[in-house]
Amino acid sequence: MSATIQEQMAIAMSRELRDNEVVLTGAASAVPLAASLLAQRSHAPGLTVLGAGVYINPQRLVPEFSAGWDCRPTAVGDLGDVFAITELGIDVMFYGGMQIDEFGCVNVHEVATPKGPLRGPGMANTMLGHTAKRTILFTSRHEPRTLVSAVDFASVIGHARRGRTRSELGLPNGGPAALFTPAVLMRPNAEGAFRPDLTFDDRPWQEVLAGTGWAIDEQRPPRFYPTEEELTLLRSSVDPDGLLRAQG
Amino acid sequence: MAVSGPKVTSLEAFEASLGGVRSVALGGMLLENRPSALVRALLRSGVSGLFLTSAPAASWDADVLIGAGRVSRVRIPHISLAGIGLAPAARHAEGSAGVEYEPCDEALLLGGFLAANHRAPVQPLDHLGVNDLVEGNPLVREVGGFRGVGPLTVDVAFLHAPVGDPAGNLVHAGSRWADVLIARAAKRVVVQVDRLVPRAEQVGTVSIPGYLVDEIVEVPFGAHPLGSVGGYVADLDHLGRYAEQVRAGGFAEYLADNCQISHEDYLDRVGDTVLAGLVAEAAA
Repeated sequence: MSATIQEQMAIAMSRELRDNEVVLTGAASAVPLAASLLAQRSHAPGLTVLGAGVYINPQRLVPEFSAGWDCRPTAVGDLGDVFAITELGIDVMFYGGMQIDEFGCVNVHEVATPKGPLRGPGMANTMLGHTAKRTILFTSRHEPRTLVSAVDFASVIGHARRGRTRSELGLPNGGPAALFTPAVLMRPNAEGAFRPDLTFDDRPWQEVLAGTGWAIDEQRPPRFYPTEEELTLLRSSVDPDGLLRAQG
Repeated sequence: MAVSGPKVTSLEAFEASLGGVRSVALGGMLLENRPSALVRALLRSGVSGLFLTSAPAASWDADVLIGAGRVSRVRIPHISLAGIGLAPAARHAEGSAGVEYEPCDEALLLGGFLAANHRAPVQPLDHLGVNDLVEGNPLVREVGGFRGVGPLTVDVAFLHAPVGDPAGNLVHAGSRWADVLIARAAKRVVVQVDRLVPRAEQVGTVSIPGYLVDEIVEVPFGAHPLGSVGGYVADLDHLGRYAEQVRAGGFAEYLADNCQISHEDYLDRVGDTVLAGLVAEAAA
């Protein structure tokens, strides 16, 4: 049984989550939600999942989150609750981005183009980038347009921005702990720069180097392999409809 | 038997009442519980030059209003069609229609509603932190050593709920998102419901009490092409075709075919088979 890239990302991401933590997944985040549900059903039964912030401990992976599908939450909050937990802080927040840079800054607002700035969709919640104890970054594209050396606009600041560190900027908490792409799992080094730690497939390493907008090791890191138990649990319990299989 | 009451109105009466409206807030979130039928009525009313705000994530509803040139200023943190992709008309309008987008995120938006709810001059936001959105943002106010945001009020709130009653009591199946905050920040609150019943509390727990609601209109499948939790899911095929048509330069045609017609004709256009499929998905 071989796992798709999305399944591997979800399984590897699930290992980032610990028992009794509180994690928030965004509205359009099938992989982080699957990871969270898998963590709950394996090593982190006490994990609290805030689906799109308001659907607390959803029991079902749905095609779109805030679109009318019943994710069967055990409780339902509203955006007054999300405002409060944003101020109070949680353990883990997931962020995707139009651009993600070497130091884990995320941009969903504005990309510079030769014709002028191109507006992105914007981001609902930027503050959890520093009120959550740590963040986990993800993207469905491993390409230089997405993985840039420095974001054009920092919607959320990672480990450094324009030569200033997170602590120099007065930002509390740990910032981004991991960056998932369809090719690799990256982790920050001692300077907070993201470097590949594991690979999700056997694509030529030259392709990964070309797809990364900053210098990374010439040496391919080890391959990630899910266990049979993890993949079986993911397919049987978390994603029986095969949403992550359909998306490759 | 039709349910009636002093707050019960029709889409036609609602459309005719929008003449002086200058600012609108949309309830729901992203692709669910969005007041799409009210938005189509707003488009038919011809009102323009609007200040448009919403719950933190908007989608088709904000996109058609912006694309139709009815909006001059926007305060919405996120506008997209979720998994379908970027909001096509809003992206096009950015370069050509002179729409001003106020840079904001969830805290700056909700803080504005909260300040309005409390009739306070500012809602402190003690953890705004640092990023390119906050830096130099004109919405951020410094008062007494605290940073925060001033009150955000609107002329009319457009909300959607699956069920409501003539007194304006609403029952949500999923989250009520920011609907309460928006209702308290609006001078007038209009709600579309898929189903109007004599007494909402006999259907489920009332999630928004009637005293916050000024007018209520029954519009079956009123959230389409977006979803209504407990009733029907978003019509992702419709949204995909919409995005494709707009990108191909067909926005005006989409508007004429889908928004400048009565709700009954709109539902006929969508078709019973499609609607039944969306209902089945929501019940799965």
